[in-house]
Amino acid sequence: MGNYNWDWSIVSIYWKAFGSGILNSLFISASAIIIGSILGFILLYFMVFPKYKILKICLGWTVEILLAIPLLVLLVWIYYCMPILFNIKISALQTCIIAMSINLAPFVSETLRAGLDSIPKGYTEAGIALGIPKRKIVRNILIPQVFSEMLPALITQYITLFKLSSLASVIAVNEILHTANNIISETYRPLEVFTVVALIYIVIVIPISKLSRQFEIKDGLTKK
Amino acid sequence: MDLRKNEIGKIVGANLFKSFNTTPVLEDCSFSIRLGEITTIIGRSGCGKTTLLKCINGIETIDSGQLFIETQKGNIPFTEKKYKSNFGLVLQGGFLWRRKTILENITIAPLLLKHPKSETIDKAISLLKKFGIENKKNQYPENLSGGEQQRAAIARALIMEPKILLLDEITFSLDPFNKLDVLDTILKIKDEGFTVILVSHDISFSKKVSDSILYMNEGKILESISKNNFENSNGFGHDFLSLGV
Repeated sequence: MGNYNWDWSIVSIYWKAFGSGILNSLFISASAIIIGSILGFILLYFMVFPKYKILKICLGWTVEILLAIPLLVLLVWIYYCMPILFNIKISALQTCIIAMSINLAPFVSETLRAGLDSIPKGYTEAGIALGIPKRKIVRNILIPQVFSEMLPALITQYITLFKLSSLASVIAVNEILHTANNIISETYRPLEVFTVVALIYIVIVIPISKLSRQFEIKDGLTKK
Repeated sequence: MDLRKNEIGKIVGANLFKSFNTTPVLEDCSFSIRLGEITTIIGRSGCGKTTLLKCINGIETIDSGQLFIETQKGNIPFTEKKYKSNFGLVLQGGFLWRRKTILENITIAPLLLKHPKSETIDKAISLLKKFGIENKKNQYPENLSGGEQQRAAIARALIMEPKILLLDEITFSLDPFNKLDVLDTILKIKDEGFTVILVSHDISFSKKVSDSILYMNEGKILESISKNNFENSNGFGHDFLSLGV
């Protein structure tokens, strides 16, 4: 390990700051996951059951555009441009939640739509043959089926979003990475601080990742 | 007008045409199927059997022609809402919904259509009992054998109380024991006064179970063969039927 003298006392001194950073990161990610997933479902619903064809085309383009914008660009654009263009003042934390939700929604909608498209036509026809209206077949039978089948893919996306929450540090949101930078400016111990940050991400991400693999393995098909 | 069980009459198709995009599937297809009997439609792959079955059920609409149920009290045309409620359809492969238990698969249609819950569950349990799969009610379709899945799919179709059951390739990929189970189930259904229309490639199964066989080729019914003539048919379906050894 060379001649570097590690000083881990920063962990005991700054544990409260790290804790607050972790909580903020979790709060931002959880809020974005909830809002983004709801938006994703709404997008999916209107794309599957468009009242007007033009609506479907517009939503399709919206999804394409949102998928093309990197989260960092979206974050910075909302934070700096919205107040100038629309005279809307929002806090850095709110900006972060909005940008991450907008970034997540098209992924959720596209993942579920791909799942719906992959379902053989026979599952829908079986419902139609029983006299169930198509809207109810999709809403009550196919979407729950697709959701549980695509859950591992969605969890992977949620994990990615959690990791991307570190981008919020560029607009000074007190999440893990921004907290770490603050601690470094006080202690001048970047190696220890960034090692702790990496460990924090590992400790949070690996169990969730393992959980998602469990979904894949068990596939939820054995009812106890 | 709803059909009664043991109703005397027939399902009539006259000069039916159906195309997908520009590909014709049914071409001047005419037939007559007696109510209360088991009728099997046989023919080469791609000759339009499944499309015909879906048209009879109403999942697919016909481009032209006449389709109706003829009874002593009058006709029920394809366009009437009551027409469709007389039919139950089991598609090839069953298509039981993977993430629903067998009981949920059977009860979901009546429950979504606001039928009373307790009555629906009682009805589902009695159907499962009748088909010998009551112990599988909380299992997911993947955990059932092919024959059990087919019986569950039939139970799902019967919960809506159709009078005519349409079965597409019901013995597809089943072993001989499971085929026997399905054969037994179909005969049981017929004994209760149902009309059964099958589509099958399985000639020996079709001969065992059917009262009559319709031979179809290139979108047309070419011959109707009654049970007495299965072995000595000299018509269009002769070669096809003689394959069932």
